[in-house]
Amino acid sequence: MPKTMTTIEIDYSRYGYAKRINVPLFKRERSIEPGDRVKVIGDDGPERIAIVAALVDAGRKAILEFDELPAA
Amino acid sequence: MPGAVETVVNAAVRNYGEYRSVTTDGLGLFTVSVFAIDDSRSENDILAALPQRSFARITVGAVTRAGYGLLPTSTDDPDLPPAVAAIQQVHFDIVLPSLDDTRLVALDPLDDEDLEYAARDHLVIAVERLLALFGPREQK
Repeated sequence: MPKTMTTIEIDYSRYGYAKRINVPLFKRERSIEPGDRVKVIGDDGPERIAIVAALVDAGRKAILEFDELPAA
Repeated sequence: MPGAVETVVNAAVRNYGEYRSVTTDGLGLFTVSVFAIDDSRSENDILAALPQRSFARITVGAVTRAGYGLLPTSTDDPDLPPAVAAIQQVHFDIVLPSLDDTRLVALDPLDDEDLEYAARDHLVIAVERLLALFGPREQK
């Protein structure tokens, strides 16, 4: 059975248009693995898809990379 | 929970642990990220650096008179785009009232679903009160 895509809500004021972001993960989100695609939503910003580039801090944070920048 | 309140509460809970490095009691902080306008950075500079499609204004006086703390904070992430790095000097965090729960001392709320839910109830009240102080939301 394919994995359900995890949705991660970020605070865009902390990242702006960054293509690569470092996000603390809730425990329930820690099933993601490097290479997974995740849906990223945030405070009135556009919904985007990112790839999990790496897990850091013993899996408590994820580095996410977006394919595309949001529209300005 | 209205959408804006839920978004702000979620961000405050997610970032709580990040503030353990700047407090002296080992606790984190529940905060709301905001940018200030001063002589060095205009509202247009700030809006152009951020992808949000709308925004709202509040005065520093309204925040502090209502009893909320206001901390100058910034992110030194090397992956920040130049436009966002350039407005870090006018980034502040509005500090929401702390939660009196001894579990916060030893546990990371992100690890403990029960604590997350406890904090959420506490934060909804504080965030609803704070957002009521802002002006109307405007489109960029």
